[in-house]
Amino acid sequence: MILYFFYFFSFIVILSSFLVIFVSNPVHSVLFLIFTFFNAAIIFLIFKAEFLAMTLLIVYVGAVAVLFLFVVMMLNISESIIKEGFLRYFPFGLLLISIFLIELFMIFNSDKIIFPESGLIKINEIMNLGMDNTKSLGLFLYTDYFIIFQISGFLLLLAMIGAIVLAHSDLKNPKSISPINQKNVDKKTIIKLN
Amino acid sequence: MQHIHFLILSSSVFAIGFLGIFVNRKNIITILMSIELMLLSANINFVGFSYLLDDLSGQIFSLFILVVAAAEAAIGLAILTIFFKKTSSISIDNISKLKG
Repeated sequence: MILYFFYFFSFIVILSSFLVIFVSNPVHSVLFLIFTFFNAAIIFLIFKAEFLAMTLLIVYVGAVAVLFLFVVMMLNISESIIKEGFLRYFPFGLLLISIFLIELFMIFNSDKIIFPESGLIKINEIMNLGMDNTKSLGLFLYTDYFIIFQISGFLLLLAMIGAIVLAHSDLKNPKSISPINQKNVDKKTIIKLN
Repeated sequence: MQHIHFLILSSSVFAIGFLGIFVNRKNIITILMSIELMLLSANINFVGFSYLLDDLSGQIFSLFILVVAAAEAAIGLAILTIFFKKTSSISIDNISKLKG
């Protein structure tokens, strides 16, 4: 039963990710990207990763896809230019991904894949202690993976500062007074008594 | 559920993202979206193997991939807006103007 659910939602994921790259309107493309992430979140729920499914929805649909939609609407690109050269590069891309997929499926079918006997952090043992998915993730994120967690937080800070620095621009003719000029005013030079 | 199920799913999504980089030569936004699809396929692999091998490490690393994807999207779109401001196009042919 759960396998048929997995087949159904993975079919939707593949179909909508096809539409992301083939639809000519960029706004529709972003909306199909959101749809892909929704169905990927359902697949994460099938894999019993509840926290990651909700985080995928919050981070991708709530932040990244809205950012994409904002930029698409701000730039206002005409649709006719976008699809130029589509058919010229399509056969080349199809050739490359077919080579790539054939190589991957040869690896999947070979019996040389060796899975480890036991995992580092066993989910079943943690579940038997009465902890849910979110609590166990937090337990290991703040102890074993603490340094990586801090570095990823710093990476987000760096991305925020970088995006602000890149997108910030000084106006050529600002309507407001610069605070530095305002502060440097001397009362002896600016007030005149006749 | 065997490993082949989600391996086929994630490799298909990765290949579609790969194809999206090739065919959309005039639209950098769709290329960024293709990169998001490729990162999503890596996430599906991590979570799938976490379920299959009964190991929580895959979900933790998937969380870090989410962080990297969010940072990459923010920086990429910021570069894209100033690129559009300079050249008034988002074609990949003009991107050689980015060098100094």
